[in-house]
Formats: sequence, structure tokens, C-alpha cells
Amino acid sequence: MRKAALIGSLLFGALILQVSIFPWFQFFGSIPEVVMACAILIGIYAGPNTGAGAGFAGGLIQDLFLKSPRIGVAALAFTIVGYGAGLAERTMIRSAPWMVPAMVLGFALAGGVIQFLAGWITGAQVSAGRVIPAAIYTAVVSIPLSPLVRRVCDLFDEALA
Amino acid sequence: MQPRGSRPRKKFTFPVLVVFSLLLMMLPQSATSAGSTVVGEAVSPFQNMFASVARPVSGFFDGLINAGRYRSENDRLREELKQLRSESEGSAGAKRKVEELERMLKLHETDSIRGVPARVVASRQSNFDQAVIIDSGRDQGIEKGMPVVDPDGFVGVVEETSARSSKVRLLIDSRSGAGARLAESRDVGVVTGEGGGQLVLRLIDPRVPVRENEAIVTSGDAGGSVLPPDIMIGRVKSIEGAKSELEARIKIEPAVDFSRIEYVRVLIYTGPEAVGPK
Repeated sequence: MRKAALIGSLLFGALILQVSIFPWFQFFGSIPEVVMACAILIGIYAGPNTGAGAGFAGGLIQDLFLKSPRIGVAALAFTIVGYGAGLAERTMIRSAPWMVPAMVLGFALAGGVIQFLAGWITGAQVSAGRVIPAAIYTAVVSIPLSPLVRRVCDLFDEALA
Repeated sequence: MQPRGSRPRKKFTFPVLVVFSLLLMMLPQSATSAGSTVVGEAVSPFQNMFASVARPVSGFFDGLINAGRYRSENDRLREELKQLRSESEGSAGAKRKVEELERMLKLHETDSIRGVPARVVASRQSNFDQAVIIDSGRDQGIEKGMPVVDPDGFVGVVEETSARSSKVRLLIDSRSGAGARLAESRDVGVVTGEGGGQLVLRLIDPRVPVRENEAIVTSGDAGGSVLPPDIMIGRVKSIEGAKSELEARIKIEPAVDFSRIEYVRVLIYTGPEAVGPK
């Protein structure tokens, strides 16, 4: 229960950051996908299933808040990247400080492509031109976000212990 | 030791969530509107609060980064103003010419339509969404479908309203569209957004003479909404499509700088009969 509340608060804060602060600080016309970054980081620090759950919840609240043309597009994309990030982290033999933002960059790119494809298949036209700058911006934002998400994941590990 | 049954449950977490997401995508938007309202009402107060802090900070950095460009733009505008003043003084017919041009373009007097001024409180919120939130809503008489303008021209249409805020779908969004006409030939087509900040005018007969920089204005409708005619949309940037093709594709330089919208006016307009004194 505490784990769900912690993740929920984190995702809610990420959504507020994404929709209120970053639209005023765009990078090549793009804003960072803060909620997706949180799902990826949760996947990395808490495992694939928690990452998938966080991705689904974060994507769903983002879809609902932005009234996406197809509810579920972000939920699907963030579920996959949250799970994928958790699996990828398990396969890492060594970790280096640059690995987390590099993983966020890769999975944010994948998430952007999934959102684009899912929107295209369901008939909701979306622009593909911002996928790359948005992924780069998301990776940059994940650098200060990473210790916070790690701390939150440690907190619910402690709660479960 | 893991509790009994936790391993199979974990095993199915990912596929279940993926299937659930796919099922959600098949739902019509009306089925999730209640959820959208709940999330919107929860996030909006925080969004307005944080945006009011972020906006001046963003303006400060924008001023720092673009100081050189603003200075040179300022110098250029001063020079243009000086030139225009001298031209205006030198030619007694300048005013008449402007009036004649306005008559030729039949520019619509949106000033005669009652408008609600509003401030943009949240800029574009997603990389796949071209919409802004303004600080006026139903309490100020704003309704879904009302047109929104700024001093440069047509901005978009109100998509949703709450008591004190509204979401405006920008014209550059790929889901937006508006009836438009070429100011000189008066030929009517449809302007659609292309998502990346581009506008395109379609359904124009390729035999119609179109010149670069020609003004494009609203024709009076926008995909179900009613728009006042002759609001500036932009100018012809380039023309694609041979005369043998069914339609010309005209790229438009938008009149509105969609990346810097700050104040707008929502026109309380439901049809031509709505035009009257403010």
C-alpha cells in the first residue's frame, strides 16, 4: 500500500512538473517526458514489474489529463519502457554513472516511437518530429531526477523489509 | 520466502497491463471523460501555481539568451517605424491606401465581436499535443467551439472548458482545421495543422492564381465550430502541386507566433448574428 502511495505521489509530481514547468523551457520545440522518465527509472531501480506498473499508472494519468486522442497510448508505451528498463538493468554486468541517462535516452526514444506508432495505428495523427529532441531532453532531466527516484525506491524496499 | 502465488502473479503483470492498455485504446473518448475530469481537476490548481512561477523565469532566460536578437530586431523596427513615418508624412494618400487595402481584403472587424481577454497559463503540455490552457472559462461565458484570436490573427478553438479555465486546441495541431480563403482570389479551402508548427491550405483549385505572400483568412467555419470570417491566418509561403493535379497544396507562414502566445481573446461568437457592439 505504501509502495503504491509513494509511486503515485512520485508520478503525480512528475506530471505536474511536465505540464506546468517544462512547457516554458522547451528544447527545439520539445518538452521532456518526465512521467516516462520516472517509469524508466522505477524500472531500473525497482525491477521490471514495478516499472511496468508505474509506467501503466503514469501513462494512464497522463493520457487522462492531456485527454489524449486515444486513452491508453501513453499507458502502453510507458508500461513497455518501464518493464524493458527493468529487464535491461538486470542484464547489466557493470554499472557506470552515465549508464542511467543513456538507458533513459534509449528507452525514451523507444517510448516516443511506440506512442507515434500506436497513435498512427489508431488513427490519431501525432507528430514524429519531436521524438528525438524530446528523448534527449528526457535523458538530461533524468540526471537530477534519478537520485530522487532511487531514494523513493529505497523507501519502499525498507517498508517491505 | 515469497508468499505463495506471488511468482505467477508477477509473471502475468506485464502482459496483463499491455492487454489492458490496448483495451483502453479501443474505448471511445466519451467513456473516459469522467476520469479525465477528475485528473484535470486534481492537477490544474498545481499546474497554474507552478506555471505562474515558471513563466517569469522562462521570460528572464529567454531575454538573456535572445538579448542580441531582440536588440537587432528592436533596431530594425525603429528603422522601419522611422521609414513608415516619413512615408506617411510624405504621402497624403497613405491613409486612403490602407483603407482601400482593408476594403479589398474585406478584413473582418473582430473588434465588433464581444471578446473575453485571457492569459495563457500553461503552454503546450506534451510532444504530441498542440494546445494551451487559458485562465478564463465557463464563468466568463466561454463555451466549447468558440474561436480564439490574438492581435496577429487566428489562434485556435476552445476544446474544453471548466469553471475558470479552458483548453484551446491550436490551429497548428494535426487535429485542427479551419475553413480558409485566399484574400485576393477569394477561393475557399481548408487549413490544417501538420503537428510540427506548420500550416497547409488544401482543396484549392490548382488553376487559381496564387502569389507568394498572399494573405489567407478564415472563411467562416472550423470543423463543426462557427468562425467569424476574414480573421488573418497567415501568408502563402510556397505552392506545391501542378495545374494538372486535383488540388494545390499551399504552405502557410502563420501570422501568429504559436511558440509565444501570452494573451488571447476568446470571441463570444456563435454565428453571424452574434456580431454586434461590444
